[in-house]
Amino acid sequence: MIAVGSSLNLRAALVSLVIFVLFIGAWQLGTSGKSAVATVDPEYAKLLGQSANTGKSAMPGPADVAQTIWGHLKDPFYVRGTNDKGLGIQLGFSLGRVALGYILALIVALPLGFLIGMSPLMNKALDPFIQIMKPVSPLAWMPLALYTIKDSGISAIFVIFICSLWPMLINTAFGVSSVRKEWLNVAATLEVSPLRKAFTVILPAAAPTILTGMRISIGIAWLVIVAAEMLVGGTGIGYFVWNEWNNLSITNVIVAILVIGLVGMILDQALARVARAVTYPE
Amino acid sequence: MTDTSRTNDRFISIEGIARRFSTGGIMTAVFENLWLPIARGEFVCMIGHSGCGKTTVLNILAGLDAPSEGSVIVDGKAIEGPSLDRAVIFQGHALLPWRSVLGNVTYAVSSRWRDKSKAEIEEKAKAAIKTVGLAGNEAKKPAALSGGMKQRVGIARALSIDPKIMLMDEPFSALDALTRGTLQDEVRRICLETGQTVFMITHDVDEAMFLADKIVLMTNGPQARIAEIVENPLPKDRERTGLHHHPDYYPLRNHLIDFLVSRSKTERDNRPPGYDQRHPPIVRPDANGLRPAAPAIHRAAG
Repeated sequence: MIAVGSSLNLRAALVSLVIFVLFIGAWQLGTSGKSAVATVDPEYAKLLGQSANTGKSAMPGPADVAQTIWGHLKDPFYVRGTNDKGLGIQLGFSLGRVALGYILALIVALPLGFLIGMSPLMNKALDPFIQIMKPVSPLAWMPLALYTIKDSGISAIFVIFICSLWPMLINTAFGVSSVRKEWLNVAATLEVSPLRKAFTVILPAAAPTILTGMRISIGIAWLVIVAAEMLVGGTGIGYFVWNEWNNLSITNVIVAILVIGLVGMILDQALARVARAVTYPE
Repeated sequence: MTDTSRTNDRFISIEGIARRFSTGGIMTAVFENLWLPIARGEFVCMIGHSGCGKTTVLNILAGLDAPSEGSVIVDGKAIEGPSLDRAVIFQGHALLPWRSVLGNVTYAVSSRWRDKSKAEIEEKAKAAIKTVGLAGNEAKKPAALSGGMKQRVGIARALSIDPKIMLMDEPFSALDALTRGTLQDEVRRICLETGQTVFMITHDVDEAMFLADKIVLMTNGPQARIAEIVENPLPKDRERTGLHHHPDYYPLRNHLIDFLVSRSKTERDNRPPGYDQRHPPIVRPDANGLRPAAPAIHRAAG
């Protein structure tokens, strides 16, 4: 019998490892087989790529992907022309757009959320607009943004802004409106000024709810940036995916998928950490 | 009678206040035309069943609620909203959970004295924390404290701003009997030492008897009235543990219980002859029986 660590974490890590090895094994098996080589017109074979006359699957195996990842890791920031930039540079463009759009959304959502949360009138008055705007796919804004802004880069930032706005706005408003009455009464009996009350009572009380909204927003923003960059082109990880698809480099597409997932996880975990820091036990 | 005796005798003066709420388009008055004077340094408890508007009276005194009619005069000035002169000790302690014990008290101190230095504020807060017996717990968050300790922090927060009046809304109702007893001792000691004027709401007859100089009895609501103001005949230097051996103890206790059991219901609709809402009767139930208290100065003044 193998002595398995009693800790749940250790056992979970072991299971994860087993699943990973099984997955890699299946992947390797699935891509290593060779199909019969068909005799085709060389011109046609060129169009189809290597799979046509070598019999090797166009789907790369785990070793190919690992090798490509290593290549990207060794030189992430190269620039060899407009369509050939390092993965690190492309990621930088995407992160920059997400950061800009997200921070703009935060700047709008926090004060507006405070207003909606504190004023029942504004809550009722703005509710129909929010309810209609919220379910709109952020990419539906793209043509409108391209037409009015006339700059594809800024349009992508606008799309990030609009998709990050709603969760932060709604959560801020909810957090602010549900601050316990007795805490507000404490501030009132201490004659605390409205501004000081907003920063010392309402903001810390609503912070966990606001952070939940921010966490949802960053997740959506990272989902949307890939699609947005596929549309606007030029730079960014989304454009990289589309460009590599046009190059028929499935290996690079897989690498990009892994990288997108990894960065998304890091963004989420970073905000989860902030959320833990502002959460208070009652 | 001099002017000072007059303001001292009516340090707080509730003058004909009413509070009405609208429920489904119908206006219901919790109470109407309520008059009550409280002297400086006096400890007044208000007793009555749920729904008689006790908490509403306290909220109006705190400035958190406004009367539909009438006004409240404190130290010669009408109340217009909350004030640092009137500290509130809330029923559910109402500590800010993201602040430490010290942070909760310094929040109050820094609100009171905005230009004090950080060191002065902390010193003042620590003194208040020491008064309620929590020295050494300054860095703890409220979640790490027991119910009794949380309420002590609430008391420290109220004390730290040197209020003229302390308003307490059933401050000990959520605590176990033992903790409640010790906190009652603490509160009585602190109030006697600082000469606080206190208005406290309670459901607990024994608590009122131990703490109060005067006990205000409310009839049931809606349209509640002050049925009586009971003067506490027990000696000022009373001890909680030996109180029930005092000859005045049972006459007072029976009087209060009788009121809560039956009179609070019957007297709402059937006012006793000669009842004057502006001057509710003041009685003193002791070993010699029930008799009207010595004519109070405020009667002449009103």
